[in-house]
Amino acid sequence: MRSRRAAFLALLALISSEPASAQPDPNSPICPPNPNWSTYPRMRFTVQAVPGSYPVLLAEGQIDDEMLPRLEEALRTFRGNEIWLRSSGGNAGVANRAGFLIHRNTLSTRIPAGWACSSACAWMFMGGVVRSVDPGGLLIVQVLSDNPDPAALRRQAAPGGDGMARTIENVAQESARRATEENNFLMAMGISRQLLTDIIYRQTGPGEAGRRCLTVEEMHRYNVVNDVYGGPRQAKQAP
Amino acid sequence: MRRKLASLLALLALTSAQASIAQTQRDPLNPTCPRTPNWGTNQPMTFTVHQVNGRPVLLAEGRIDDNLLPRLQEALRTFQGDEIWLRSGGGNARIGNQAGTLIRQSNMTTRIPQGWACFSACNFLFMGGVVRHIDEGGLFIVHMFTFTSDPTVRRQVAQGADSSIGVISDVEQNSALLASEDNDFLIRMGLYRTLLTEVMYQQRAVGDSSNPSTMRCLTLDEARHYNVVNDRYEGPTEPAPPPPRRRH
Repeated sequence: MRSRRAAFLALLALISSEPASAQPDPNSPICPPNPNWSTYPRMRFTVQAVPGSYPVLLAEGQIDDEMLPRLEEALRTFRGNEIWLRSSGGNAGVANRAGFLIHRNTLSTRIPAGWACSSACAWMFMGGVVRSVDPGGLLIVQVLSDNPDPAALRRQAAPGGDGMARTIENVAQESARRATEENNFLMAMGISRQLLTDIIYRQTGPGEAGRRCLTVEEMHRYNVVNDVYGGPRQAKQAP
Repeated sequence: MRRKLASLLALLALTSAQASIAQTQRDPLNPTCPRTPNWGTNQPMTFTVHQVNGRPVLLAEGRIDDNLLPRLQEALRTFQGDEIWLRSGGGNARIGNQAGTLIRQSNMTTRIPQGWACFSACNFLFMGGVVRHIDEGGLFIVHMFTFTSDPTVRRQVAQGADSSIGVISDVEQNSALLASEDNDFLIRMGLYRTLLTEVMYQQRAVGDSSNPSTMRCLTLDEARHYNVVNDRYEGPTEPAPPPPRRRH
């Protein structure tokens, strides 16, 4: 039975439509180039049968503004208990609500070997009741920002700087509110809030420069992964 | 001599009455607050021990400056009482946070007596109290922390949009860190964090014509609701005697 399952997973790996990322260094916070986070512009939910086990729900692609109803629908009919995630991020607020939804449904989340879950996707992942990152899986964190783009900022900047001063204060206010929500979220999920102040809020710069791959040690230290039962497990292979 | 004393007392009564009137007149820009809250001087915070009804009380008055902590430590080291009365217009937010933690570690009670106001960073000193009182007529005034009062930020804003844009991500990052510290502080001190999201972070740091308000005076009911005050003994709390008059 075990060999049938292994063969099945190996086959899935072979027919995977996207290349797996280079094997990351589990002790390095520097993310490898081209993480395998899927290029679907809208997150897709696909139930994947696993021979001899419960099905898993594959969640792949950008966390778009209209994702929640699709996730709700997918969870309504899903008979398994584990979601595998692959995404470059997207709408932070939607990801936060999706994390709560996953938690209420008492589902486990997993980032399988070769997959990457970045930015807003990390919040979906952290919604899992049991959270696992397999060796070779990447969990990438980043400051979630609602900053207006530079062109919009220039338009807001009135002569004399009053408009810009107000914009700066608005950014600070939004950031404080979002930080409070994020503190709430981590407490609700049983994750150390020091993940925010030690790591996430220390990242600077948009895009690639602001991304930070959590090391295995960090994931355990902050309880981001909590599948600490019975010693090391066999890694699951991503489809 | 007697006439000189009588004149002095008359003068004190007059200034006290004026302060009282000023504290009851509403501020049109901040309608929940009086026009001129009595938060004391803008000088660095001083610590003075006074005897009130035969017991020592530590009066903490003035601005929360960058070098406050050693002075507070020294004041607490020699203070033989257990209650601190606060009057301050705020100052350095992080120092306020650390001073509040120090007050908690010293198992102190904090109080805002009648006629006194505790604003901004002073809130965190107050919240550090194990038991916290606000007397009728005392003011706990909150606001949204601000970055545009920082000289570096102001300089960059004055240089124009391009320079200001560079400062935005720093502000965003610092704001998230400071908000996390606020959250942490309120949890440790046993207050509801909804005080942050429902009140503090709803205030505007910079007012405009549509909403000029930048300060919010909590009512006593609100202060109890968020557990800002926790002196829930049976029956009403006896107000503290008025604080000694001091020159501003």
